[in-house]
Amino acid sequence: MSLHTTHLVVRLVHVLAMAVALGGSALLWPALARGPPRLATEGVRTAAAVSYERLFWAAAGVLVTTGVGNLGAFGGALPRGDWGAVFALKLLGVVVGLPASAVRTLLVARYREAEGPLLARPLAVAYAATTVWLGGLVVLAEVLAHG
Amino acid sequence: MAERTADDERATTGDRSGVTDARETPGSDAHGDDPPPTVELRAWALASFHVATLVAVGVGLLHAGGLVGDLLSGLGTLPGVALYLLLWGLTWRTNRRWLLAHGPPGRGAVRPALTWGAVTGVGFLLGALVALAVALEPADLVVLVIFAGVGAPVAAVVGAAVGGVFALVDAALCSFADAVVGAARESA
Repeated sequence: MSLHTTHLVVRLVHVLAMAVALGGSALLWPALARGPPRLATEGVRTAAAVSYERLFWAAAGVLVTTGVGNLGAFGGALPRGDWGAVFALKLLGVVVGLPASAVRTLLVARYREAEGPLLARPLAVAYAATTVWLGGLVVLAEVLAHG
Repeated sequence: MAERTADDERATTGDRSGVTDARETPGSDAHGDDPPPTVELRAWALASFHVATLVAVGVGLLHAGGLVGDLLSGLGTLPGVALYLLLWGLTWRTNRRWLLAHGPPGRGAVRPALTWGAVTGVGFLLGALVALAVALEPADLVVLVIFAGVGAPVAAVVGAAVGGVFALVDAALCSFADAVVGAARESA
């Protein structure tokens, strides 16, 4: 595989991982905010949230790894100035959002263990915040990619 | 909802009764490969959080120093992914043991986190060196062994420091999550 193809694959995987993370939170946000749909039980929402958390953290690892790969593709030609400032802002967003996401997962663990519907509303807020946060990172990534 | 096991309950409540010393000793595995599901979820999340944050902070520091492009361009895609997976795998394994022994992170779990952090640090160094050894000539292996001997104590100290810091962060995050649960109970 040529270096160019490798970089394209790395970017594709990066985008797909973000699609999983952002798409999942955008689906769970209304699902938890509105209450369980008629044909679903509380257990279905719990299972969906637990599955999403597993996927989210796998996607986070993929995003960080491929993000580093994308930086490596620039080599010594990495832009500075405004581009560097936007990149620093994106990194700051990542470092702030990761511990917040850990709190969300800890809440999902409690949701599964005993608290049940009690935590549906706080989790809906958490998934809304996750969706906004990841959407913001996508906007910053677009600025970095296209100026 | 899955039926809860006694270990799941202990992990939830932080109850230390019945937790044997063997579980706290690196190298022992009282649970084998079948930990309670919520411990597994916490270990998965916290290990991923630790490694992703560590890499993001590292890249941020390199970026601030203007070194990120030059250094990362020298690291190939596959070696980079392999190093990340190695660190994540070790961190997941040690976090799982840590959570099985101590339940949700609290201030009391910081001291054992130093030990598990040191285990992770040394394991990462040795794993990386073993991978490097495959690409070296036999004559160069002596240098690698010397490097491992000198580097292992340094890796242990660095790993313990990082493990301790993340244990404190985890304890704070758990306290925050507990506060959210408490507020939800009050408003119900």
